[in-house]
Order: sequence, then structure tokens, then C-alpha cells
Amino acid sequence: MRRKVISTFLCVSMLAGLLSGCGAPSGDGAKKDTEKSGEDNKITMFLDDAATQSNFQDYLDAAEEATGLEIEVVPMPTNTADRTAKFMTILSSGDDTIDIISADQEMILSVVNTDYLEPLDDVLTDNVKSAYPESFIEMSDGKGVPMFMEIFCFWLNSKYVKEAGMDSVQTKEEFVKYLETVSKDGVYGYGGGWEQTYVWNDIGEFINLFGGNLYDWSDEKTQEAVKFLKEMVDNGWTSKSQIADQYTELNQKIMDGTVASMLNYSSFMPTYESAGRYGTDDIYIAPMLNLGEETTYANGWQYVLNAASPHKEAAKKFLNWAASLEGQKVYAETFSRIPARTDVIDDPEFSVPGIEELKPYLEETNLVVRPLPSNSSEYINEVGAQFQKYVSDEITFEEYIEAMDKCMKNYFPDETK
Amino acid sequence: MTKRNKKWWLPWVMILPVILVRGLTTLYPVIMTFINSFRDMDVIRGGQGGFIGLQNYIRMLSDDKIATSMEFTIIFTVVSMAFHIILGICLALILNMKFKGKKFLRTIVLIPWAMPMIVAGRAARWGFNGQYGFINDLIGKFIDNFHFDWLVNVDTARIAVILVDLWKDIPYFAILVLAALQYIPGDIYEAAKIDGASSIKAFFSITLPNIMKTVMSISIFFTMWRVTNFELVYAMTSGGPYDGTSVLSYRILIEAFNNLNLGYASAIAVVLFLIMLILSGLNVAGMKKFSD
Repeated sequence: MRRKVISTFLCVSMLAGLLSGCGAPSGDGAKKDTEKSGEDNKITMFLDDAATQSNFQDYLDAAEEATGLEIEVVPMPTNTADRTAKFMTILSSGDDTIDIISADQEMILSVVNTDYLEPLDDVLTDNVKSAYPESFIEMSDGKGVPMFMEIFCFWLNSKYVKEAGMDSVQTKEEFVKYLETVSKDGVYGYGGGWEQTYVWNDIGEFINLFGGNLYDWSDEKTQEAVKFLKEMVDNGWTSKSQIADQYTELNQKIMDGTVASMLNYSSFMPTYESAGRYGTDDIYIAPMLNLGEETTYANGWQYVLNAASPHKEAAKKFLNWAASLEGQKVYAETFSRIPARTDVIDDPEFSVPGIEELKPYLEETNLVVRPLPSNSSEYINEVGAQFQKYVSDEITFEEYIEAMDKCMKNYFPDETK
Repeated sequence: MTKRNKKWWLPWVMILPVILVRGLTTLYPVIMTFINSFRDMDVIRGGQGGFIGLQNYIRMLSDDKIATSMEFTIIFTVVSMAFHIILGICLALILNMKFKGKKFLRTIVLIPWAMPMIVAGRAARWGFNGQYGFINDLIGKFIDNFHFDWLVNVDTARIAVILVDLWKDIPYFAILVLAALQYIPGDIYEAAKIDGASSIKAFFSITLPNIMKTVMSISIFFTMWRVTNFELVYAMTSGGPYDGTSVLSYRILIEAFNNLNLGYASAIAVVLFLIMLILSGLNVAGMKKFSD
């Protein structure tokens, strides 16, 4: 009998436990409302800077003080594939624990045509929008607040510039001479992040520098650019092994002196600074290469608002501040980055380390936004895979051109018409 | 009707909570995956979830990436399992020998298994790096000026992935085999020795038949883990170079969470599910054979 009572009790408890989780919310509405009002001032952000910037807390403190918000931060994975997957998972699953996310161009373009992002018309008023480069606002279709501008720059290791006895490395002749002179004894004149999901930056950039057209692979200059990349490998000016390298490995290589130059984003400057390695007597941003044209990519990260966020008003309070002159200035000065707002850059009192080297880029170099389709991740992988096959001699030059032509027509049907 | 039969419902009531939880967490996702595989759920291209019949499956037939992933999934599973069985049994035999420090060895041998796969994968990414990797350094101790870019060529990147998988999971396999070895009574070996059986003869006639059932049953789980393993590739090679190390489960991840094509990802998942069913069937059949 006793056993029966115990078994019945256990059964009932299990069912009750299970059903209690399925029931409607209990009637303690007053308590919930109190909690809600307390939480209206609290937002959670999923940010790249929280994982990469050692002085991130300074920025967070400034933001909390200026907005009166309580901000919680979840650091974003630094690896591109990881962060894209996490970004997509948060948005597509309707995760409402994250309110604001920092996103790069690839991430934004993947979701800009969906309803995962909240439109920010009331934050990005005409007045605010006019302070930003038009292309940055267009990129996110008014659903993102640009955080900073990063320029794909030409970096040099001064040790090798001196060794080559050169004053400048800018034209094609100078660049080739530099590569020829310094590529020896385990040192490569040029280094790139040529991992499958990274190499599209270099491909597009060299096409820019040669004056080619990414959409047109029958264009002589486009073909000349990719041939040059392969020649660099064949001549031992750059390492074939870098097809396994992301920017983490590339940065390590230029610091170790096994790479003498690279094309990389200006946003890495704080990394070199904090390592005590940035400067014209060490590793520095040089004037942009001109291999026929002086064109480079300008990219920008943006804050986007999760449409599933239950704290939209509080989140917009932060976004209003981030989009303001003050917010942009604090961000840029804290992280030594170029602000996205042009009026901050134009301010003669504004200064961040390296801004002098970057001013010629802003004034003289033709800055363009990276061409990306909405399904950017798929496209980037495809471009990377074809290029890796080409430099590994898995496919011929003709096969590579044919594959890229097909790829462009598939991902950019309008632009390739 | 007996008193016992009158309460036929009682066991069902007892297990109802488990059935409900299982239904929600396992059956529902499986059924939804099957349904979604017939839908257009390519979110980025504006898919609204409409029924598109077998289109996702048909696309798989002409998708080179799927062919490459299928190829590497088969290579990875077959090669890795073959070495798991051979080296796992060898390691178990070593751990079963009587020598000083046996307990210490049995403990430390499990360290790689206890390490999270993502950590092992990230460490291996650097370990196999042509310039900074300790693998080249280690080989360089024996071969002067040794340099090899493991993760640059598809074949060597695949070898590297399989090696890391073996390094990580063989110890666990061996420990499970070791448990089976310890159930074999020592007097059988004594009798065989008196009858003049050599050590090799004793291994094939006594040891192997006695542990084979255990080996086959743990092989089911190890095979399934190989088929569904994506963390290692994710952390170590990101599927590269040129998709050469992208296993099917990694492809599902990329299609679902990077390309946001949930319908296509579901179709690949269904195919993977069928492959796992076939492999399980083969393993169970093998187990039955050894039981008989």
C-alpha cells in the first residue's frame, strides 16, 4: 500500500511539474510590471569591440553615463564564420535577449531585406543621415547606425623598406621592385589573408588597383590583376601557404617580419599600437598603392537593432547617442578609429593616432564600398574556393575566369547584364 | 482479466512525462526537418516557406559542394573508424598490460578526450600551421629544414583533420575496449598457453572474439559521432581549402546559419539522417553476427 501511495504521488508530481511549465502566466502581473519598468532602462548588446578592444569598458562607461542606460554586453566571436553564424542564429530564431548588434557589411547585407532588423527612421533623421557617407546609409537601408569607417590600407614593414633602399612603394614598378628585393630567406614581400572566407578582399582590391571591373571577368585589367596575384605566388613574392591564413595569422607574420607588406584594414591599427609596433620606424600604413588606379575599399561596421528586441525604446536611446557627434567622437577616440561621421573627421581638434597617415586616403584615394550580394556568405565562399583552386593549380587560368564569370552572373545578375 | 492486467495503463502514465519531453525535443524537430526539406525556406532570396516538392533534393544532385562534402564525410568516417578500431584495440591491450605507472597512464591518456572539440580544433589550426605549428617543429627535430603546409592542400588538410580526430577520441575508444578486456578470465589464456598457443594465436582466438561485441556496439556510437561531427572542421579548417574538408554536417550548418537556406539545409540533414540509419543498420547486423 505504501509503495502505491508513493508511486501515485510521484506520478502526480511529475505531471504537475510538467504541466506547470505549459500553463499561462500566473496572475502576478503587478510584479511583472515592476520588473518591466526596471528593465526598460537595461539593454543587452552583442559586440565585436567587446571581444577585441582592451579598453572597451571605457567606452561602455561613457555610453552608460551619457544615456543613463544599464548596458550588458555579450562579446562577439572574432572569427568571421563564427560571428556570422551566431548573428544569423540570433536574428532568425527571434532571440529577444539581444537588443543591439554590431554588424559588418557582409552580416548586414545578408539580412537587410528581411524583417529581422528594426528600421531606424526615428534615429537616422535627415539631419543625422547627412553627416554620414551616403553609401554607408544605403548599405543598411536605414536599418543601421554606422560606427566607424575602416579603409583597406597598404601596410609596410619599415625594416624592409630601408633594406630595399626605397623612399616610396606606390607604383607598380616600385611594388614589384620591393617584392623582388625583399623576398628571400623565408621573407615574403607581400602577405595576404587568403583563407577561403577572407581572400575576396584581396581579389577585389587588386582588381581595383589594376583598374579592372569585378563584374566583368572578360576585362583585360581584371584578368591582369588575378594573374598578378598568381605570379606573386609563383615568383615566391607571397606564400601559397597563406590560403590557410586569416588576418590573425597575417598580423602575426608582419609583426614577426616574415611578411614585408600587406593590404589590411585600418581598424587593426590599435592592435599594432597596443603591441607597441605601430610607427613609421616599424609597421605603418603607407600611401595607397597605385598599380594603374588608386582605389580602395572603405567598409564600416554598424549598430543594428534586433526586431525581436523587447527594449526598443531604450535601445534607440543608445543608438541616438551613438549616432550623435559626441557618441561618434567618444567611439573614435576610445578605439583610435576613423569615425563614420564626416563632420567629426573635419573637426581640426579631432585627432586619433594614425589619422595623419589616413588623411591622404580620405582626400586622394578613391574609396569604394565592397560589392556584395545579399547572400554574401555564399558568394564569399564561392569566390574564395575558386581562387584557392586557381593558385593551387587545381584549375587553369581559363577555367578560373570562366568560373568567376559564371559566379558573378549568378550573384550579380543586374550588374553583369 | 488478472489484477496485473487491469493496471496496464500504469507504466504508460509513469513514462508519459518522458514521452512528452522526448516528443517535443526529438520527434518534433525530426518531423519538422522532413517537412521543411520540401519547402522554399531560402530566407535571403525571399523564400516564404512554400511547398516546392523535391527541388531541394534535386539541387543537391547538381551541387558540387555537396558531392565534395559527401566524399569527405565518407573518407573521414571510414578512415577514422578503421584507425579507431585498430589503434583503439592496440592501446587497450597496452593499457591492459602489467607495468609500473599503469594507472597514471590510464588517467593521462584520457586528457585529449576531455578537451572540448572546439578548443582542440583551434589549437590544431595553429599546430598544423606551416610556419608556427609545432607539428612541423616536431618533425623538424628528425628531418633537417622540414617544412610542410598541411592545411593548404586538400589531401593533407584532410589527413590533418583525421589525425586530430584520432588523437582526440582514440583514448576514449581504448578505455571502453579495456573494460571489455578485463572481463576475459585469465584462466582461458593459461589454458591456451598450456595447449601451446602463441600470443598472436591467443589474441585472434580468445581476445578478439571476446571483445568484438563490445567493439561493434561502441562502433555504432563512434561512427555516428564521426558522421555528425562538424566542430572539428569548423574550428580547424572552416571547411577549406576550397571546401575540401567540409563534411556534410558542416555544410548543413553553413546552409542553415550562414546562408539562411533552411529548406536546403533540412534536405541535406534528411540525407544525412538516412545515411546514419543505413550505417546503424549495418552495425547492428554486424553485432548480431558476432553475438551468434
